[in-house]
Amino acid sequence: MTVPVLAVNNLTVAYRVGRQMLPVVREISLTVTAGDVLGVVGESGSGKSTLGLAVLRALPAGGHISSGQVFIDGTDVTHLPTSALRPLWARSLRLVPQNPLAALNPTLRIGEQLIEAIGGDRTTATQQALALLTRVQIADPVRVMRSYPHELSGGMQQRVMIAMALHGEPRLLVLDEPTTSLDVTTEAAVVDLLAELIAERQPATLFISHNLGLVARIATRTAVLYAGELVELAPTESLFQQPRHPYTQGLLRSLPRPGLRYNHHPLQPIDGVLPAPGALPKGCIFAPRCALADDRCRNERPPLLAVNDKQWTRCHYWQQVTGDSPASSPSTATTALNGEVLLTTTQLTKTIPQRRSLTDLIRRKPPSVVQALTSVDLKLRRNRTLGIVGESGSGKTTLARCVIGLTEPSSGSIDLIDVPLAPTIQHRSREQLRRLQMVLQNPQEALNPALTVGEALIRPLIRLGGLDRQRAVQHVPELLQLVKLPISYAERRPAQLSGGEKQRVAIARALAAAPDLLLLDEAVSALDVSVQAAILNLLADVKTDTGIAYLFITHDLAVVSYLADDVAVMYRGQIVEEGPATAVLQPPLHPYTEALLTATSAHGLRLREVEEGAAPPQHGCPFQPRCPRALGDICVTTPPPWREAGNGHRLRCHIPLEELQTIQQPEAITP
Amino acid sequence: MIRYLLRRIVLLGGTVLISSLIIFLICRLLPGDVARVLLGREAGEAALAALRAELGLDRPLPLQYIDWLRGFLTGDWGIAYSTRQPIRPLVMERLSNSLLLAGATLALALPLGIGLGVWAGWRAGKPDDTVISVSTLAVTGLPEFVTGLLLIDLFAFRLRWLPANSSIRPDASFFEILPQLVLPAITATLVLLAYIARLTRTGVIAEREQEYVRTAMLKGLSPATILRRHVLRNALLPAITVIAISLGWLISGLIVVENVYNYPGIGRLLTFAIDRRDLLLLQAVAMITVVIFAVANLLADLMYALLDPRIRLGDERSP
Repeated sequence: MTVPVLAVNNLTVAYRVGRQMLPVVREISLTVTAGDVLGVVGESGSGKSTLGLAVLRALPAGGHISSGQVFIDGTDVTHLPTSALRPLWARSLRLVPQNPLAALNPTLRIGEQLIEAIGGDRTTATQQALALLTRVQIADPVRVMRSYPHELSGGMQQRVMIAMALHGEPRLLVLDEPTTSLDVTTEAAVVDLLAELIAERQPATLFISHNLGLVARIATRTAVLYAGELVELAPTESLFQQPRHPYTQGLLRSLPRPGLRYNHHPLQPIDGVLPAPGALPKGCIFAPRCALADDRCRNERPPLLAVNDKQWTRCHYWQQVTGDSPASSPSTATTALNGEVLLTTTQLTKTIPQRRSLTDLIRRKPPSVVQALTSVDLKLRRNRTLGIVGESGSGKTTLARCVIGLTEPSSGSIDLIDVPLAPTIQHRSREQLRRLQMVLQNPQEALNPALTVGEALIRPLIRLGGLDRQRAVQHVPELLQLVKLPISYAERRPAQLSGGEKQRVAIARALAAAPDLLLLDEAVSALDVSVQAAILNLLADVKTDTGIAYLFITHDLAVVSYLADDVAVMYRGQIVEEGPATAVLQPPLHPYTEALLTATSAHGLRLREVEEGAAPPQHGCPFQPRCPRALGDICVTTPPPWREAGNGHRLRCHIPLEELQTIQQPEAITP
Repeated sequence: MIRYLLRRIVLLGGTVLISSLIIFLICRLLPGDVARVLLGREAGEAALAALRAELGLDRPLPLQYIDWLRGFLTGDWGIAYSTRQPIRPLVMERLSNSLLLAGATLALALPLGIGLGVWAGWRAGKPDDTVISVSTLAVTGLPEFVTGLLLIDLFAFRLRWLPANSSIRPDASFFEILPQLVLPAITATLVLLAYIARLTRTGVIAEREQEYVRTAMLKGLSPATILRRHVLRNALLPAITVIAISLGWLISGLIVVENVYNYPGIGRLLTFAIDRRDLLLLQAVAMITVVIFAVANLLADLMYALLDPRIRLGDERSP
């Protein structure tokens, strides 16, 4: 039998917090052989990153392996001193971290950092560095070698980190959320590259990710971590088709996928919250959140049980964990197609002039401008959700800022129920402010840490709702119930809430004065998948109950296809496709929509890469430089026409509709 | 870059101009009558008025200010009332002395302070860190006149290694001056030491926890290489600004040190001018101080930009 590259035996890792040692990884055992890719999934607090750093012996200060062993190629490295680890690190242990910008020295050129990693003779190392950069599909390696990290795009930075991890003969490759900070289309290309390189170089790989779709694509086996424990380990396919742990099953049922919609087949979030490290339950750690749990689960900790020779689960009752999802209760939600139009944007345009250099000033060159938004027309009706999707730089956040009044549009207008809105928030009436509210991505920053939840909710009730203080206080329990929080939470401060609870409070605050329209800017993007599912369902319920409308801005197409009634896809400040969600996304017609939607699939449509900061084309289709389906001259010279696909579905493309419908790759549009 | 530099130089001019107005007004608001101080208590009103007219003190304030500023800019700084000497050569001589002392102090304080700071930061939490932090703080806590007198007592009187008096002659050669610089420089160093060391220590600790240091570690580099190539440069960036500000202080703020050692620098000239109500001399010294602070800050910003590639001065591609 071959010796596995990585063998982890009963590993426990603890962090020193004050005087306590809190275990964040508990008694984990696993092996990875050369060429094998083990996916490690779990939500925040599961200990997956700590596990990754522990096997590299690169734990941050305060972290210690308190028991168990780590073997690399059969050698016990658990207690090797740093001096003995150094040659091992240099030769065979590699890490690709989540944030490449932080992992690269900001004041050294890329070339220096690569050459230093390769080591040895400088001329040879330079040649190798250039070859590696070429291998990770960097088009201009000589220029990249001379660049500083901040001069490269996120995708380029991560390619540099991958190149750095691949010199010599890597034995163990730890990929710690390697694509989480990237746009979905860049992520797709980087994951393709990683899959290719792993197949070519055959390192043992740990692929750590919260993104189940990515893990399904790249991992041969998958380990599911919950609160520091390994709860299930199985071949990836079995895990996704027949999970044998209630937590794995809960994760999968929380994941928005094609075919699931808020009004039929809603998501089934996991109840409860993650136990705090140091306050773990006595028996099974998942018991407090598990529907199958009984007294045995609450008292007796289950061992890792073999389902078959390849699948293990830490559940007493794994036979009862079946693939059938409980009968879904289709919600009675109806969406009025012809409700009152709440929000209209007409030819909304925002240009941002760039600063000119001195020479340009002398030459009297006109200032160049960036088109953040170009003639955006939108309509949002009562009781509808309009999803705005696009990559970073697509203009979706500028759109949100214009609507809420934080950015003044250059031209065009925004009407709220047929009344034009003032361009800036200072000039809007209190009634208009009440009607239009917003929820931000990060509830951590959006809530004042000094105010209790109750106080935070009372303020908008008084200022915008026009209630007196006493009536406002009486109204707080009702608001908390609306977002499904216990009434006692009114006394708590944000620091005493979990991330999901904070976002519920932020939503309750936005809903306090009964707005007609809620603007949600990446409002679920920072949340774990089980929490995200609960918030999505909450939003759907609130909409059914109150008839509110949502302007839902996100980069996540799965979330949009779950929650949105209508979708507008933006690219570089323009809407390239819009219409009812089901029509736009199933199947996607515009090549950009198709690329976004199929990014996680191995056979998805991939975009061409363009230079970071390259100016958009002056004429023709803005998407053409990256479009894999571009027809040629016509796309370069002529702006594409709107093509109507019926039912309000339309898109901007030179390719005729019939052709777009036939060149689809339907097999790619599955999870 | 050039555009940025031009803008900074214009700003610097503005700073100096506004400061000149403040300096002028404060000097005129100081209690005490210059003519009275110069002529003594017995002088009659007629004599006082005549002197005021001679010194131009009876003219409207705006005119006085404009005349003085024009003189200052063209190099005619006037005659000191108190010593009847031209001001400019006097200030320039003292300035060169002060620069010499500042240079000597920085030559001591920078390597020592940065060295101790790096050591303490690299071994944060260990006993040597505690020893360095506590001892540098302790010596900085002592006022300069205490450390100065202790040093004189030890090195000048007991050991007789160095002179106690640093009143250097104008015609002395550099090697004659050098021994006289040592004790004042050490005294000023002790004031700065904890400041520089703590700043460096904080920088090193902050950078050590950065992810790129972990990247460097996983390259298998030795701790010395990690410290030298990765940690130090980034850790020392914030120290540049502080050093520039301390340069201004070293040139014009060493009043106590210069008095303890009788060192003829700008600081002593300043106390002398205040003592004698010598308004013109006081104004000139204050102006020179302002210019030095402003130039030191500009140099610090430029150096920062040169060392940190993330700062692109006046870049038109700003996001």
